[in-house]
Order: sequence, then structure tokens, then C-alpha cells
Amino acid sequence: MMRFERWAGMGVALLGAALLAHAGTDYPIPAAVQNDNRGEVEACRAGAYWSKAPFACCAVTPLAGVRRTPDRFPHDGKFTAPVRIVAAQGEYEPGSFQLFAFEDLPSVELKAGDLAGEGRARLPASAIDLKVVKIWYQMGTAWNGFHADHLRRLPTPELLLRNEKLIRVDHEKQENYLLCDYGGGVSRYRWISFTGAAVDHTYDGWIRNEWIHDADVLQPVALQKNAFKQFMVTVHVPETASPGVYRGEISASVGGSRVLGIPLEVRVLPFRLPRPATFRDLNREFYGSAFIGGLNISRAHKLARNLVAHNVLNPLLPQIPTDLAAREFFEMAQATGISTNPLLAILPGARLTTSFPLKETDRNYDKYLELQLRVSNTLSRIRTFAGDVQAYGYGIDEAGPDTVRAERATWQMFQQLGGKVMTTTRMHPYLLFNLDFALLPVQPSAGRKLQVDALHDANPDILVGWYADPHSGPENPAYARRIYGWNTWRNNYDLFCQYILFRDDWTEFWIAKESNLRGLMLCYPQDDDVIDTLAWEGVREALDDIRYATLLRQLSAKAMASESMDTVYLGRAATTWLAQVDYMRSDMDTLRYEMIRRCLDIQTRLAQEEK
Amino acid sequence: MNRTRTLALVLAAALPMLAVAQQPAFKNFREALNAADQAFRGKQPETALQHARAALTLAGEHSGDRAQALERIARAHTDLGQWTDLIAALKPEVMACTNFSLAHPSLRKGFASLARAAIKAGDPETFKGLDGALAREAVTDQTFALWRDVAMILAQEALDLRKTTVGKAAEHGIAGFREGSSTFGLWQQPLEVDGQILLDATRLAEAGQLLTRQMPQAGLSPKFQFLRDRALLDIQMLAGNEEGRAKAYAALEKQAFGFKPADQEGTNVLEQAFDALVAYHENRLNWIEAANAVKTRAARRPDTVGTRLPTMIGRAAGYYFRAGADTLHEAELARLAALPFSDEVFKGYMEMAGIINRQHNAIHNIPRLLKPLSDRRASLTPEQRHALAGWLLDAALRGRDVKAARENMAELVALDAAYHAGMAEEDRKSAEARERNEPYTRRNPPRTVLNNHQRNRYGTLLLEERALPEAIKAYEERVVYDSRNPDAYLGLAVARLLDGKDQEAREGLDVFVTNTALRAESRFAGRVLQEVVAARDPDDFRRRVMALRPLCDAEGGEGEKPEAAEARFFNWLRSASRQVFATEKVDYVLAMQACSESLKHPEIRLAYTARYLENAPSSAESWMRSGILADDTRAERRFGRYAMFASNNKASELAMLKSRPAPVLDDCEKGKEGGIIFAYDERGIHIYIQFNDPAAREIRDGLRGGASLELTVSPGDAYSYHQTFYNTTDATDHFAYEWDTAHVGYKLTADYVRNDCCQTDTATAGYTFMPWLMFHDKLPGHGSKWRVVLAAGWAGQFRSLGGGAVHELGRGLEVTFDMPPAIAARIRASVVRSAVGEYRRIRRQWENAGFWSDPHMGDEPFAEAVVKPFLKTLDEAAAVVEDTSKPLTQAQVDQFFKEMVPQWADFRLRLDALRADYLEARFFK
Repeated sequence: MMRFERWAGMGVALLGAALLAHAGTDYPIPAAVQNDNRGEVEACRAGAYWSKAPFACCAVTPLAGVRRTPDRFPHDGKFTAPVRIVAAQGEYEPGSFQLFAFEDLPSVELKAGDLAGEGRARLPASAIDLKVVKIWYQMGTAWNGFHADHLRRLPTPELLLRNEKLIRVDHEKQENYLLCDYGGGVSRYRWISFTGAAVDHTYDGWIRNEWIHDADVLQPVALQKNAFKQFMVTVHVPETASPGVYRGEISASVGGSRVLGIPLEVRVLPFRLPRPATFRDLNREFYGSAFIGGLNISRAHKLARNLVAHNVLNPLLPQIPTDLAAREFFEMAQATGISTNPLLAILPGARLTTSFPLKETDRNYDKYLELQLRVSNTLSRIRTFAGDVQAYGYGIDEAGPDTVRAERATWQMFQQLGGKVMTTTRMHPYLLFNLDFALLPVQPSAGRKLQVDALHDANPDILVGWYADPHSGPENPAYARRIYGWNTWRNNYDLFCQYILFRDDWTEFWIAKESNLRGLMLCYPQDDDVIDTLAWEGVREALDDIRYATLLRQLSAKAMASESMDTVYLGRAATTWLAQVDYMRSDMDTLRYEMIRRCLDIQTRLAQEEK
Repeated sequence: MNRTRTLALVLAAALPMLAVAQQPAFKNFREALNAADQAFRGKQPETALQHARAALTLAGEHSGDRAQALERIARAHTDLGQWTDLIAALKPEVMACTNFSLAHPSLRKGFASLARAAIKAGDPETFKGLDGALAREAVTDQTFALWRDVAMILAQEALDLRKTTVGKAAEHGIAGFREGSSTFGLWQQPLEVDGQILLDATRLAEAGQLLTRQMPQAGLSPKFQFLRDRALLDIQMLAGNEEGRAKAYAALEKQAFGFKPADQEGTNVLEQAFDALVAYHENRLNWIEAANAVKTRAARRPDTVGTRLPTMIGRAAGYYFRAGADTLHEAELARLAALPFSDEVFKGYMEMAGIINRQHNAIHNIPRLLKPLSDRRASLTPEQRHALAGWLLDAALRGRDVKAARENMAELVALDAAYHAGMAEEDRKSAEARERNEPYTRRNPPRTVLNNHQRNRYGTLLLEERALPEAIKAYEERVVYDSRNPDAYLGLAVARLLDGKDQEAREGLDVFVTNTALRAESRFAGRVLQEVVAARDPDDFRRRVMALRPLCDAEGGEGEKPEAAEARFFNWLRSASRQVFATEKVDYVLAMQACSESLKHPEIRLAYTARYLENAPSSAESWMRSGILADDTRAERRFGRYAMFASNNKASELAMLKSRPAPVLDDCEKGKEGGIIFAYDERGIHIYIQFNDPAAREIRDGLRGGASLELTVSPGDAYSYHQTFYNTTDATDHFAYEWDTAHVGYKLTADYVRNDCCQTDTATAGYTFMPWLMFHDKLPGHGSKWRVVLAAGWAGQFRSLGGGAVHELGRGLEVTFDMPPAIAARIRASVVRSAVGEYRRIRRQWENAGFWSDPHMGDEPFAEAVVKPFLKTLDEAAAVVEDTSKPLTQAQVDQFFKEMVPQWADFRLRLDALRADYLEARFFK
């Protein structure tokens, strides 16, 4: 097999022959599989728009549950259809396609052009983001789990890159390398698939976010003969875009010559999506949240924008111990769209244990007084910048009953001052009555809905979220979409709040913090920003699903207020469908389309009534 | 007195003599004392006690030596908690002292030890005796220290009495973890909940009274009055309540504000008192009050501030920063900036920086706050420039700001050079004067020396940031000034290897690796780095590294056990591996791993053959009754300690060294064994698991839970795995984990996997059935490999099949299917039938026949154009299968299996896909 070892063309000074920037070795595909795939692709050639190109193209479902490895024929692929995307105004929405090369092509350039709608309507090329889906080696539990399985290394699609050479993969040795940009013109690949044995179970090899820089636009990619490669096309529809169908292409060039135009069509819907609301109450907002690790979001504007672009507007926040820190945070929030209500975990930790009622003789008495002062000051800052919003302090993680009880005086103090309290906790049926946000472990299910409902029955204002099992880690975008979206929403949670967005560096095979786990990564850090992944796109679509459902319920409510019984029935049918549809077993793209169809139908009916 | 008791008493009396007889013979007092200290370092208080007693014997009548020996005896008794013995040993000597001020310091330490022992042993007479002895003397620095010590001992006792330990938090299984070990951070500290026992007011009051009544008060100098009141505040801080603290603070404050010092000693104690007032708030993390204390002093006693006003302002600015009171902080900063620049103003900034830097993660503020100084750097004195650059370098190093680090390092290097040049000049002048026999008064230059730790951290940063030429230069300098530090040599070698200067790296280590004064393990790492250069390839490297073992063995003492020698070599290899890792030479790191792995026992991996079992039992009880588990050709019983092969930390790796016992599976106690059978028939996979448990009857009777088991099954590396998690009391999977979501290629675990359980008097059992329908698109053939993980807790043990961990399929049971073609064909025929059943079942659940045709719920055009034709196709084919009067031919089975099973088995998703296509076409029309 031919090796792709090429200069990166990034203008960086590479030191030594071993440091050549390349995307790695060929993906190993048995000849028989290559031939089979080639045969299936050739069967589609007649009449296909790519029939004269050096590679074939097929539109595929962007967030399917299948691992699209280079050897796997895409049975959902549409070899003769354009790449199609349906999106609301202002929405980010992905499409995807795969290329299958008939020969080794070391450098293929893909570039989206403007899309033309009716009349002079245009979607600018700048609204279209092209990325390549990078396949690298992850532990044997990749795609499904977050527990460690060190002995197996599986080729796993995960990263969405603009420069595929950011990661070099040695398929022969099943090793990953990360291109680190040290500044001053020095870039080198670092080995990132080492195990604990290589570093004697220490933190050696720690990688700094400042060293990681993906490109701003898609760089030329290499195509391997008789192998598939997946690309993501994410359209960010301008909020002012006119509804309708926009058509254009992604041009592909080899050696500077255009060899193919991949047709791209975007249907812009005649509405914007509302913020998501909970299933239990259309008037309560549903939130996307996660702990974002040690990064100070106040200074990482790109990260904040990325969170907003993925609908995660309410991450667990850093505390604001000073006026300056408060100003910095709220200015960032205003600039990026990060939500300022509720403000999760922004208050000092609500984790002091004392007797109840508090006694002067408590060992933590002094700390309590000091905490009271800090909470009061923080709330004062919050009111100055954001007014009367809900601000939460974080209790003790996963505490047992005795500990929960011992936090009561502290929690009461927070609440008396106007603050709120959140914590991770398993379900203590009689102990959480004074908690404002219960973050329960384990993925949502019909069984756990009973606990969620019990908490809401006791206190309709309590927020109930979930985290863990799975933690961040599984790469499967369909899994992420369902579990963070429909599955959370329909089981009456108010939010998901995953333990952590990214925790474990890039070193999947050596997790220094908990070596019995994989890297807990929903996305990967880079300098003041993150690198998107398939699962992270799944999170975005999960929340978009809920936004569509919210819109449908809002429209249905209007329809049900109509004087026309037919319109009322249209609304009732829609809400019934939302409440009854088997959200665990239905295809999620179909659910989305069905919501859109019903929204359009009701919107049309209401418009007719207005006339 | 009976004979037995008499004998016991005789033996007891003889024991100390026996102990003395076993003591090594020391040449002199000092040797015995050193031996005692050595024993303390080795955490052997009993041995230390023996040696200290020997030292006491050898001390004779020399009071100083006796005091030192007694101090060790007291320490040993304290470590052993032998309070009565301590009193017996020390009391005569301490009580006999008539002048504690002039007594040996060790005797004064003995005084405190004796006081504590008296409290612990509940011996108030001894305690009072000590106080009485002390009260006979005037208050001096030495005796006051003793008064303070005993008062604090009482206060500590008061605190100890009210400490309560809340019962250990119950362990709760959360998200697959135990409390305290979850990924959400650890909460392993004991609960700090008090208030259950009232404050031991008596002891606390006694502590105060010691200093205010029993200690002679008459003629107490202002110094000791201040010291007394500070001690009273300390007592309240340690064990008092808020009221007591406020009172003690007010007393000290009042005294400080009213005191007019008449001499330097008075000035000093007043300064200390003011510091104590600020420290009081600092200790309580009350930064606002700390700042206020500083400002109040400056306002009310400006005579005590004088030229140090800028320092006060800087401190207040620092405290306000820490309080988060930015406005107040900025105001103080502005005050500081408005003062005419002076050395005191500079110190004010430094003071502020010091206070702010004590806050975690506040260092990045320092460059901004010190900017007024940076802006006038040119006019600063060398010492000031040195201090400023030091702060800024520290901030740059911690913030990994290479540019700022370079700038400030350059400043520090220049200042360092100026200092050394100045010193050389003074040396020269001094020497010349000596030659002329003239007196010379040296005028040493300002001490602006670059600290080694600054150089080291700077070099480390440059290496990490791959600024290799500079890093090499920094390390080259470091090996000169830090020549006994192995990190300097190894760092230089690593930097050179990273920079492709392999031969230089190798040669640069020549001196280091032969310097036997340096640590052998580090020199070994140096040798390994040399072999990286010398080796032809990684294989050659591996051989060369293993050939270095004699270097490691040479470090072992005589009679060293093999496991100790092997562990050392393993550790050395690993330590060297980190150095090779730092050079980014991947193949050589892997070779190092191979070296260390070669010292370990190989892992045991379990391979299993799954065989057809016609009409396999379909309940736990029927499996148990069948007795099939007794069939050794089907049963796998090798359970091991959970995660025994995980090698997730050093300890678990060392346990696997060949010099240690080889890992063993299937080592369950008799009557607590486990076993599993993985079989299949036409319907699907049958997994029977039985755990022997002597107390199984209690499970059956509901007196305790059954075996808790987590079973994971992977139908091949390319596919998602399924997991079920249940207890053999009821077989219900309460967790209902799904590790994938429904799509073509994955069916939900909860929809298909069925568990069952049963108990006997001696065993508890579980049974899991997985129908082939779940795997219709990935049916195994002959030789197909699946993987199974089984972890379980039963009969007081937590084990896993093969010693793996949950989800760890790589270390799980590797199942190879023995599946003759005829059986495979029967399975396909079965799947065809069950797929039809699935299709019918889904249609019934979904009200599908009418759903799409419903005028409100459905979409009639879609129903007509797509649904009905699709259903017609499926129905017609299904009818052929359902017609039992005409058994399917093999050709029909094969055709249906290929063409129709994907439609029937995933009917909902197939129709969904048609619906999506239909709607998409509509949206783009």
C-alpha cells in the first residue's frame, strides 16, 4: 500500500525527517472488500453526476449510528442525489457526504460556493462549514462506552477537522499523533496513543490547549484508492434568510483543476426555532449543560460561541469572586450568547457541613460565616450585572444521606440570601426537599422518569437533570442525539448536565485521572476553543430536536385555541403524536421531518385562518 | 496468689531486663541517641524507646545528656500512646528542676510532653505540680513559652473533647461507582459536623486562667502582657467560641492602641501585636476585616506607621483583592500610585503581590498590578529590578508565557552577571589591597543573583515548549551550576535528542553515567538514553537495555530477595522509559515497555468454544436442574480477582512480576465457586451463570441480596455491545443501560434480552437469553468470535471471569462459535420466522395499519403512495412463512433471509426511512 507522507503545506517549520506532516498511513482494507465496494460503487456510476470524476460521491445521513470506516459501504448512501439539508432560520444543521476514490489522490480541495435561492436570495459560502471526519484509534469500548478496554484499538470516526493532518494515524501500528504548534514556527507531532506504562503512570506527556490549532477552513485532503472518506457540511442559516430552496455546489479540485461539483441543496424553513422548553411544561425552559473543566469561559470566547452554536447555553460556570471577574463574565455572555439565567454553579460551593441549626461550636462555623459573606457578595454582583436571575451554588458531589443532611444549614443560608443550590446526588426520596437542582446519575429511562416526576410533584420549580452512564466518551452521534435529546426531554428532565465536556487531554490510552476509564470527551480542546466531534454534533441536534418539538407544541397551542375544530384537531393530533410517538425506537431524522411537516401544516392553517 | 499469677508477674518483671539484654551494645551516649533518632525516622518507636533508655543509662549524671535522652523517651511514649509510662519516666527529672529558664532545651520540651501526658492520662496532680513548679519562677522568655505551651495543650484538649466523628458515610453505588471514587471528584474527607457535644468550657477556662492567674502577673512587662494576650487570642482561635474570640481580640486591640512603647523592645512587641490582629482576620479568611485592621492602625496610630505607610496601603490593596472588593482594591492601588515613588512604595507593591499570590490562580494578575513598576523599570535600583523581574518571571512561567519569560529571564541574567562582575571587581580590589598590605573595605554590589530554581523552571518551560536551542543552552548552563542534579544532565540529553543532536546527547552523558556519586537509578536512565543513540534499531535497543541489568543488581545488598531486585529493575526501566518518552522516540518507548513487560507473568486470557445445544433450557431453574454445568467441556469456571490484570497503576504491575506468585484464576474458596455456560440453539444465545454460596438459602428466604452480576456481550469488534445488570434475587435489570440507540444494526437491549434467576440452598443462579433476532444482520458463522465480560459479587467476593473489568471486552471471554453449516441454516430459518413475528408485533403496537391513513394523525397521500404498497409486499411474503401447511424450502429460507428479514426485523426503521425520503422530497419540491 502506498503511504501518504507529504509536507503539510502549513508553512510551519518542521524539525527532522520524522516530523513530516501527513495524515498517516493507508487504512488497511482487504483486497476482496475493496473489490466488493468498488463493484457496488460502479453499479451507481451510470447517470451519476460524478461519473467522470476520479472519485464517487454519495450523500449520507450525517449523524447515523454506524461507524463510517473507509472499508464500509454506506448502505444509506445516495449516489445520485444531492446533499440535502433542511434547516430553520438561524439554525445550524449538518449534512454529510462520502467520497470514494478510484485512485490515490494525495490532495483534493473541496470548497463550497454561494447557494442560490429564489430570485436574488443567496446563502453565502461563508455560512457553509466543511469538515472531514477523522478516523483514529480509540479503545475497544469506543463508540459505545466510556470504560477502559486497553487491549483493543478500534478505528473510530470522531473528530471533525478542517486540517486532517492535525492528527496523524499510523494504521499499521494503530497509533495516533497530534500536531502541536508550539509557536515561533515550531510544530511537531506528539505521540498521543501511549499507555500508562510508557510514562510510568505519571502525567508526562500532558498536552496544552495552546498547542492545538485546527485550520479555519477545510484544507486539501488525501483520498485513498477504493476507500471511503466522510465529510460534514454544516450550514448556519442566517436568521434573515428567506424561506425556500437554495441550490449550489461544493467544488472539488485536484491539482488546481476542478473535477467535480457536488450538488448541495438547503431548504430554509419559514420559521425560527424557539429556545427549547421542557416536555412537562411548555413555559419552562429546557437547558443544555455540562461542566467545562478548568477553562475560564470568561476568557475563552471561541469556546463560548461554540457552546452557543451547539445549544449548550447553560454550562456550569466559574465563580466570580471579584467585581472584575463578574464584569468579565457578563461581558463575555453578552458578546457570545451564553445564557445568564440560570447561572449554574456560579455561586461559591454550597458544600459546608454543619449541624442543623447551625451552632457556634461547629468546626465549620467560621467558614460558614465567611461563605455567607462570599455568597452575599456574589449575589450582589450578579444582581448588578444581570438583575434578578437564578444563581446556583454547588453542593458536595454524590454525597450520601448523612452528608446531604449535614449540608442543610448551608443550603438554607444560600436560599435565604436569594441563591439556589444544586448538586449531584442519587435519589434520596426524603432528603432532597430543599434542593433546587437535583443532578441525578445514569441515563434517562422510563423507570427513572418516576423519580423525576416525584421530584417535580414535590416541587414544580426544582430542576432535575442527569449525568453519567454514559459519561462523555461514546462517539456515536445517534446515541448522543437520542440520549441528550428525545430521551431526556420525554422523561421530563429539565436538562442534561454531563459531568464534563472534555477532561482527559488527547491521550485515550492513558487516562491519568481514572485509568479504568476512557477519555471523557464530548469534544476536544484547542486554543481557547474546542474541536467538534460527531457526538458533539449529536448534542446540537438533540437540542434542536427539542426546539422543533417546542415550536410544534407552541403552534399546536395556537391551533387548539382556534375556533375551527379542524384546526383544533390539527393541534391536538400534533401534541398527541409528540406524546405518543415511540421516541426510543423511531428514526430520529424521520421524527425531525415529521415535526417539520406538522409545524408547516399548522403554520399554513393558522395563516389561512388569519386571512 | 495462685501459681499462674505468680509466674505471670515474674515474667512481667523480667521482660524489661530481657529487653535490655537484647539491646545492641552502644559505645557511647551519642551513638545510642543517634540510633534512637534513626529508629524514629524508620517509624519504630519501640526500638527508639529501647535505644533512648540505653542512652539514658549511658548519659550518667550529665544533665544535658539526660535531658536529651528523656526527650526521646517522651517522644517514643507519645508515639506509642503510653502516657502513664511517660509520666513515670519524666516526672522525677522535670519536677526536680529548679530553674527552667536555664534548663536544657530538651528538658523544657520534656516539660511540655509531661503536661500533655498528664492531661491524657487524667493525672491532674502532675499537671498542677508542673504549674506550681513553673509558678515559682519569674516570667522569662523560656518560662513564658512553657506557660503558653501548657495553656495551648489544655485548649487543644478542650477542642479534642468536642470533636465528634460522625459515622462513616454509607457507601452508595452511584453510576457504577462507589461514593468517593466517582468521576465527579472525590469527597473522601471526614464530615466536619460538630455541635453534638457542648464546648468543654472548663478546660478552655483553665487554659486562660493558666496565663492570667497562675502565671505570675505582678510586674509583668509590657512585652509579656502582649505575649499573654496574644496567647489568649490564640487559645480562643483554637478552641473558643465567637464571643470569646471577639473578647480576646478586643483586649489585644485595646492594649495595642493604648500602648506607647518606650524602647525598642516595646516597639517590637507592639508591631507583633498589630500583626497578630491582622493575622487573626487572615486566618479566618476574612480579607475585608484584615484590610480594615491595617487601615484602622494607620488611621489611629499613625505614629506606629511612619514611612511604612505605602506598605500598609499595599497590604490593604492585597487584602481587598482577595476579598473580591475590586473597587476598594483599586482605590488603595490608586493611593499607592499617587505617592511619590520611593523604596517604601516599591515595598508596598511587593507586599500586595505577596498577599495576592497566596490566592490560588491569582498569579496572572501580578503583571498587571505591577505595571507601574515595570513602566519605571529603568529607574529602579538593581535590587528592585531583581525583585520585580523575579515576580514577572514567576508569573510568566506559571502562565507559560514564553515571551514574557524570555524578557524577564534576560533581565535576571543581566543582573546576575552584573552582580558577579561586581563581586569579581571587589575581589580584585581586595586582593590588590592585601598585596599592598592595605586595609580595604569591600563594597559588594547589590545581591541580584539568579536563583537556580528560576533557571531550572525556565529551562523546563523551554523544553516543554520545544524552544530547543534555548532549552539546550539553559540545560548546558544548568549542568555547570547544578552538577549534582541528575535532572540537569537528563534534561540536556533529552533536549539534544529532540533536536536531533544524538551524538552530542550521548557524549554529554558520559561523565554523568560514570559519576558514582550520583543516584544510580538516574545514571541508569542516562545509560538507556545513550543506548537509544547507540542501538541499530528498537530490537537492538531492547537487547542493550536488558543487558544493563547488572547495573541495577549491583545496587542490591547482600541477601537481597529476588523480588526486591526485580522490582527495582522494573522501576528503573519505567523511570528510564519516561526519559525515552520525553525524547519522542516512539519505537524505543515501545521497546522499553517490552523490556518491563518481559519481567511480568503473562496474562491469562480465556478462550471458549460456544457449541450448539439442542433445545437448550430456557429458565435458570431448568438449567440448574439439567446439571449441564458439570460438563467440563461446556463450563468455564475461571473467575479471578476483579481487574487483576488491569495494570492501571504501579502496584498492580509490581504484583505481576515473575518473582511474585503467578496470577491464579479459579481460586475461589470451596463452596463459593462460579461457573458459566454460553450455548446456542435455533432460538438464540443462552447464558447460564451459577454461583455457589454456602448462604444461598438466605437469599431464597429474602434475608439478603443475591449475586449481583454485570454481563456484557459483544457480537464482534465492529458492532455495539449489549449489557445487562441484575441481581439473582429477582433478575430485573433496574439499570436498563443502553450503550447504543435504535438504528438499523442495533436493537435495544431492554427489548430483547431476558433474565431469570433461581436459588437452592447452596447456589444462586442467573440465566440470560438473547434471541438471534437481535443479531439478524450479524449472525455468527463457524469460527466467528464474540466477546463476553462477566463481573459479579457473590458470597462476599467481587470477581470477574478471567480477571477483567466491566466493559473490558479485550480481557473478556473470547467466544468462538462452533457452528456446523446445517445448524447455521436452521438458525436462519428460525430467524425468518421470528422476523415475521417481529413485523406483526410492531404493526400491532403501532396501530400501523391505520395510522398513516388516519385523516388527522397520519398522512393519507403517503399512506396510499408508500405505506400500503410496502405493507402489501411484507404481508405477502409473511403469509408464505406463516403458512405452516407448506414448510419453506432451503432456497426460500435463504431468499427471505437475505431480502425480507431486514425489512421485517427492522420494519419500523425501514418505514421511517421511506417516510423521511417522502418528506424530504416534499420539502425540496
